[in-house]
Amino acid sequence: MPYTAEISRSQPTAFLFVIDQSGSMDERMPSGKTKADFVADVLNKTIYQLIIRSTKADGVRNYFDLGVLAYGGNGVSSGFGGSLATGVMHPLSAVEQNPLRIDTRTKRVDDGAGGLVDQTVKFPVWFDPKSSGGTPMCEALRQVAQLLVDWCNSHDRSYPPTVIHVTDGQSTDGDPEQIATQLQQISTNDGAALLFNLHIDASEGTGLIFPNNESGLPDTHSKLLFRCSSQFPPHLVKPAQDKGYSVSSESRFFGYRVGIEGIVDFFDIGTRASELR
Amino acid sequence: MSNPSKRWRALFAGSVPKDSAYPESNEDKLRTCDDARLYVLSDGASESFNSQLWAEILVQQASSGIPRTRFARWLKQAIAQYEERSDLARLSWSQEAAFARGSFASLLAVSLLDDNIEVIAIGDTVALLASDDGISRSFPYSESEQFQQRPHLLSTLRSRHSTQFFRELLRSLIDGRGSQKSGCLARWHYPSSHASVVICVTDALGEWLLRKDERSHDRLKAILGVRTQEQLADLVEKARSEDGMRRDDSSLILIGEDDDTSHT
Repeated sequence: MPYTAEISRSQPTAFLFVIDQSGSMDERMPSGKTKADFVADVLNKTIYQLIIRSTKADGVRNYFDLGVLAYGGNGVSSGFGGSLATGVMHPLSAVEQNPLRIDTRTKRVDDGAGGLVDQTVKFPVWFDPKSSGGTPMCEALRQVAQLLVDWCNSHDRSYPPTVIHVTDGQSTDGDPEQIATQLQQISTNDGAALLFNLHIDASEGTGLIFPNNESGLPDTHSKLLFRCSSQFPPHLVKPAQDKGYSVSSESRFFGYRVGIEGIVDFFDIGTRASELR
Repeated sequence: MSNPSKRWRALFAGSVPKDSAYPESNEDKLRTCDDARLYVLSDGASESFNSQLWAEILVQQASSGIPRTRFARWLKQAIAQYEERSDLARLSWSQEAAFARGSFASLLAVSLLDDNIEVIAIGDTVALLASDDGISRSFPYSESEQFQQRPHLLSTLRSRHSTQFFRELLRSLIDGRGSQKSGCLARWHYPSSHASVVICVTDALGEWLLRKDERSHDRLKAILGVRTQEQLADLVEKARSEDGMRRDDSSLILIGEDDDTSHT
């Protein structure tokens, strides 16, 4: 049965985030942040959570390889900065050791006596927002495919890699459907690589998220992205249902014109791996 | 009839790690004290900062007895020990954040009292009373499906101890009555059969053993026959590869009449 391989240090999986940094990502959302700011924030939090979940007293366990690929006016390149910028995919421990910087933030936490108290926490940043130029989506997906081929060749028993692709527009370098289809044929012995497409919007609405078929989608672009998206792997159905989404194994892991709340949920559900060892 | 508890002892105690490449990462901890007639098992949760240390402290402290009426204070002492043994000054940013999320572990303590067998169980580590004929008692779970639930575990976070669950747990320990909801205390009469055994298992073994199908009896027989670490390792490996047992740290304590004396 696919998507059942256990994730361990000797058998890690991979998450690759592919982020649109085209000019339109500077549009402001209701919170006042630009789309680029918001996506960078969610991505940094997601990386943070993946690291914390894998951190034990003896250090960070390499349950995952992580990668960020960014595309926009400057072409396609690693989304990481600093010493991680030399490559796209890195073991989790390398990502933990090399944030661009560590900011401090305040969060409200339970004080243990029924109240809340402000607590200062360290917030590492790996990915800074950028927005300029066009949307070379096809070239980005081509580079993703090459990365996945290399990764799957060296991890044939692993849970297959998951690609979370975030965009707010349409490809400016051609039709991405063929390359997206090919990308989903790259596989390990545990199944085909997963491609989750998230189209974001500056509006407050939830948009369309995890649809079952094309028929309810509003336009050709949404239908194209639907076809470019993987079906829900069975173990992610329940986490999505628990968050209130009407999802079945027929649903595609795809969101269209998704706003703030949906973006956060999409990243959260998309990075739920099966049980860590 | 003489007090049966005097004749019971640990027939076997052992553990198999989830990942044979990293045996030092086994987060189950156990201790058997035949003199005190007390047997303790704790399963540290995988996604915890240092559940291995937390389980070790719980087992160590519980092996001196669990004071039911002063359980909250007992737990505070365990947390204080955990904090004392965690070198916070040397933690990286990610270890600091993981430490703040806490460590979690189950706790199972079986005491052989004069009149009955007392089981304190918090979480999904299970005690069963069984013989070759079958399982007669099981606590806190009796169905394999119950292992799908998210168990209530003991945490190093003090904030977790103000929950409704925890208040009920304290009340049921103080009352000395088993509570269905908190599921922390059970008392069993000693069985009349000399061949009966108390089986203590962590969740993967418990879920496997409580499955009800045509292989149920074979599973029980295999567990009851374990007397060496090698036999447990073989059983666990076979169950993982051929019978769909979840790959997790897997620990077993068997308590009963000594094999040499049980039929005399």
